[in-house]
Amino acid sequence: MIHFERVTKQYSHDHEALKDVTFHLPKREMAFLTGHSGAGKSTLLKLLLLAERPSEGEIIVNNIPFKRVMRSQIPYIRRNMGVIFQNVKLLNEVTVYDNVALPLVIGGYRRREINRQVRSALDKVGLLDKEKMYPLTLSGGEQQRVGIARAIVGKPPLLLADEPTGNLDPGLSSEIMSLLEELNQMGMTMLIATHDLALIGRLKHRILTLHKGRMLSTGVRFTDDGKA
Amino acid sequence: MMAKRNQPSAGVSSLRYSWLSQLFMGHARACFSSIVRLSRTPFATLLTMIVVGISLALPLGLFVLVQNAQMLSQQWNKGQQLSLFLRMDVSQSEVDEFLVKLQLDPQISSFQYITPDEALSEFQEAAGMKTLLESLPSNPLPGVVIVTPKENHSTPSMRRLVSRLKHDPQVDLVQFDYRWIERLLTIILLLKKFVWAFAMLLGVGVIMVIGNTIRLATENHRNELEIIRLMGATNAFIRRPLLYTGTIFGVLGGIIAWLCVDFMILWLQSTVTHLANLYSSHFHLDELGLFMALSMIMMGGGLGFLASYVVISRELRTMA
Repeated sequence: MIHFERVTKQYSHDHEALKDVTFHLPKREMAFLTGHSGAGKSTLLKLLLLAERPSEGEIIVNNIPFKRVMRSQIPYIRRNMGVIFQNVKLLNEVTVYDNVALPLVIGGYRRREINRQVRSALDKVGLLDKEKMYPLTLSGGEQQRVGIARAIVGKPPLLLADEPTGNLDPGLSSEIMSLLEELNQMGMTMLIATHDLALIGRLKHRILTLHKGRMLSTGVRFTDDGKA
Repeated sequence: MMAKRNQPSAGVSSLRYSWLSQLFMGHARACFSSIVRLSRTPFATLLTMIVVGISLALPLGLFVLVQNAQMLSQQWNKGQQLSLFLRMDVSQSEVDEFLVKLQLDPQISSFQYITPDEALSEFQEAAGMKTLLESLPSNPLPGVVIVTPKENHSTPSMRRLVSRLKHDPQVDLVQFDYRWIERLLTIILLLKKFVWAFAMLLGVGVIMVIGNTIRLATENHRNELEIIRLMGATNAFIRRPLLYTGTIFGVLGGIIAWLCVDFMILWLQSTVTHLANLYSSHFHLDELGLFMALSMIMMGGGLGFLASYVVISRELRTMA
């Protein structure tokens, strides 16, 4: 699903955010991306979202070489990725329902179809009864679940998450993680940036570690029975 | 994952709207959402609209006044006649010959000949100097031809006519105050230019006001716009509601300007009519025609659209 080949991102002459990063993430896999702050996690996600272009190297996502993607095509590529943001970033002026519906509205889906998929997404995160509420009236954990519902509503093949448990207490964090794991079992490929090592240490997924822009380890892939 | 635009493949088409209805729905949604957003901050919206309205009303009001002044000057111009004072020593046959010549002149629409006797009796009546004039040995007044030219507006042709008549051997003096007319027309031209300059300046002002309002709106919602963008919204999708907002500001500002100017005319009207009556004229201020009003509103909308387009495009370039 994701191929990074010797990707370097240089912001200025002396600042290399990513250096010679190579890794592959197969379909249906769930992986964590860790590293101290400033290690390049956000840059890597930005490259995947085409918000930034690499200085060197090649990125191929879902068989699309990003090199050949033109500016005008970027929105259509992004529609096939779900994104969960660190601060959730919901639109506070509209209801939970409208927040979750947003990607489908952008995609030009029919009203009936939007209705169906939004309900299904809210059902998956357990917030079906809160669709008419406004984000600010929800708890932090609930807001993050709305964010997840919004990310998965269009059934994107790839889900990217940037510190999805960043502002949550440990109990809520593991709740969110198990929700993501569930979605992964339904077939969604996931790359989750996080520095919550205690949490992901308990989970048996690949861990990609960035350090000062370099990929220190591309992790070990655990099989379902826990063996390396 | 496909990188093609608007792929209306058969399997997807039942889930999504067709390309055309997507466009239509997009516009309806953008228009609606911008109206909702504007109505959520009614005071700020009203303030912006009034500023835009006043900026448009000033040049519009001046334009209306200048147009009325021009019409007034045309009215005067139309009454403009030339007085040809014939030489004292012309014979009746020479006068007849001269009058025939005038009749054939293509630049003259009509004329009236006043014989020296008629002039004398008229003068006696008007001036009340009967006794004085009677005491004179002979009639001191020349024959006068009052000529109404065909063309009233163009001064050069008028001037040519005057100089042609002046060189006629029968004519002693041509009385025509074209200088005065010329001055008036030049003043009106100057005013018109002034109005245009003013209008352009204030038009730029309107663009700035609307542009700045839109810029503030995008700044306040920058996070939102970035999120929407990361979810695959096209530039057109993001731009649309803001373009509607800018256009709505412009259109409503145009309507306010129109109302302002119409009220101004209404307010001035009674005084102007009274003044005109004192000069025994039927002059009255013309109201803003429907055409002018509509073009004002459209111009407001156009300026609003332009302003918001420029601002959003700039903002979009700085976004991820």
